[in-house]
Amino acid sequence: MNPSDVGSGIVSGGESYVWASYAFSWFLILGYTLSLWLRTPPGEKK
Amino acid sequence: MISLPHLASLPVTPGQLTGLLAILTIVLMNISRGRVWYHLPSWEHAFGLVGLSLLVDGQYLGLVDAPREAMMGETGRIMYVHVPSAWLTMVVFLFTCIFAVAFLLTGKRVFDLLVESTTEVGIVLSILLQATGMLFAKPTWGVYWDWDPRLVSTTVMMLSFMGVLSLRAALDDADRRATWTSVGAILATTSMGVTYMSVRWWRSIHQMQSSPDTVAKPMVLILRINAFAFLFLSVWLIARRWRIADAQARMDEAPPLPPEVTV
Amino acid sequence: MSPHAQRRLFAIGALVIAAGAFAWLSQASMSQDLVYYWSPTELLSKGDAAKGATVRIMGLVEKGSVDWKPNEQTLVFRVTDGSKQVTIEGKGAPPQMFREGIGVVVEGEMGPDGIFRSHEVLVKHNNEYKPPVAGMPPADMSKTLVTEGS
Repeated sequence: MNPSDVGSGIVSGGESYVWASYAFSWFLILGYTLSLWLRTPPGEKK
Repeated sequence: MISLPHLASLPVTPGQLTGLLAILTIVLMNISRGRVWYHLPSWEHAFGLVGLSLLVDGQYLGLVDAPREAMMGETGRIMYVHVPSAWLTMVVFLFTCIFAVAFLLTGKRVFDLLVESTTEVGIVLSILLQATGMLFAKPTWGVYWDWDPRLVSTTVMMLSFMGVLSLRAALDDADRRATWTSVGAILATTSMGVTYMSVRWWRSIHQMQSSPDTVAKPMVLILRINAFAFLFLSVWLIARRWRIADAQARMDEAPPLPPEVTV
Repeated sequence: MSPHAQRRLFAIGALVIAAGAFAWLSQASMSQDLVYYWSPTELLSKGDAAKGATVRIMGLVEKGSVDWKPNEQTLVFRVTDGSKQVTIEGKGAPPQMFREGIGVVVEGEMGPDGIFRSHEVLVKHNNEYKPPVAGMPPADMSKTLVTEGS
């Protein structure tokens, strides 16, 4: 961060936090779905 | 954030495409087994389909269409995953409590299995809530975590419901397991109410709940789309989890195999 | 007692305990030693008793009080709750959202000279989210802040 930016009150950058939260959401939902699929007995997979 | 055309300007949205592909996959899977006419997919997949389509478009809107936040800049976009996960955590745990009361009043097995399913899905949602909350807090407040009433009560809520599942796993007798899971779930719901009220009751670094009055119109719409995506996906996940629990319960109930005859 | 009646009793018992705990928590006023932060007024009312202890205070960054020296990496500003002010002195850059008029939670200790030495400055923003508008007065952004919490 540019030290002269202190006091502007506006967040510049921070894209990595955005990507991290979206990616975490996708992988968590995907991972949980996968775990449900693996735990489902064969006869119930429909 | 990323330079892609706005959703409204696309002839077909990514969500519509996802939905179409998913429908095609389901149809093909059924045709390939030669039973498309008499073996329909389970009803909950309709929720999964709508949820997935809404999620794809909702996330696209959040990452591309949504305006930067005046003060938070790009990091304001974390709102579109953090806020829906907070809403759905609360809604799902509320249903855990409703099903627990319903089980204790009626004794019907389906409610017991729904308590188990909603608890597990609620825990997954609260993990998402915590993770996105920390990733939101760092660039805006300045820290990932602090010992603040809202953050601590959310953690207590998550641990309470994890405790309900541990209790359930520890009890062998089916009737006692069902009863005590429901009792535990009702008690754990207190922590959900406390989490919700924590920003009103106590001093916190977390701001009060936002409302359509405090959020600009285009942002409210994107929040709603993502919230409905989470809602539909939660119904789907709970129903799928319920199928596992139901199959397990039926297996446990099956009469033991006759003893082998030895000559 | 039949299992059905027993379960109904469990339901009522659990609901009563849950509702009781919730009601008790909503009524229990937290002791001042347990609150997450003090206001400048509360801190100053403690006088010398508060000096040297690590506490958090919350207030708005007073207009025109911010003095950031990039070369020394020192930050001096005042927080106000509308009636009392506390001067804060600390090392290092604050979070990017830090500016005049915004809420901050400062962790640190009151020095013998009445200046609060900060270990950490956190930003407490309000619940408003909106796109940037040219010429928007920053003061508008904190208008719901003072009604939050207590």
